[in-house]
Amino acid sequence: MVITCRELTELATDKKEGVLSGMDRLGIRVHLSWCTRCRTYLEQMDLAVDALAALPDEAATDEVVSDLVSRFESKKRTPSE
Amino acid sequence: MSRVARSMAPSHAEDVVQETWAAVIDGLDRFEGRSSLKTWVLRILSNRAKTWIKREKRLDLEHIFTEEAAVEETAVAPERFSRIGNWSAPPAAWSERTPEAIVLRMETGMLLARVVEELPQAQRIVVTLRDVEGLSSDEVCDILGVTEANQRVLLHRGRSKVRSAMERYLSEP
Repeated sequence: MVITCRELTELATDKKEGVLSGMDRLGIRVHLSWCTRCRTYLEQMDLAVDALAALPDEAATDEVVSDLVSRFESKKRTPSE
Repeated sequence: MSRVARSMAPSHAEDVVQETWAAVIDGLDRFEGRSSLKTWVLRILSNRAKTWIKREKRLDLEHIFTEEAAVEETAVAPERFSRIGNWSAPPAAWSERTPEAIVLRMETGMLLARVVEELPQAQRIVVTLRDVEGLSSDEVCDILGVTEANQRVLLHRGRSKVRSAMERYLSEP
């Protein structure tokens, strides 16, 4: 089961999602044992995903907040049935 | 919330957010805690956004996902491999090696956020929900009503594009 570098780049997400077939898992392990370029590639894919998770949250605008406050208050005045 | 709304229906994001808040406040008494509050809110938001998408494009989201997943696309530009599939232009080492340093380097995330915004619609939605918002694959498929296989293909392409965009900012000469 020989996996080329090009094939490995197409299996990167399946690997991370844990849905590889046994053959592919073995093929990737063998490939990574000698291919530092693909190790770098997978590290960068992991970093890309982690950087997306590290994006700062967006703060709600003043308009949204005041709109919300008024919605909550009108709901308090007219409690649901 | 507005980030997810923009990923789904960029030209109606404000409407989607407003409608979602209204529905959330109305329905809060009925929230039963069977899912997390976050997924519950995002499911409402996704339904509102789907309505807008359908109104605008006359297409179901599921249809858009299937179409986009069917397009042939590679994770890495084919010319970076030799004829037998080995790297001919391998990935260079990056100047930053932690997620925080990368975000900082990319104008405190502004450039990175733009990369996501420029992804094709279905890829953008999946990457936003999975990677930016941190939902699981099951949650995303459930909220959007798409198949796991399509979701995974689109996630793969979206992530591959994000990596390749980062490469332009972070590759050491």
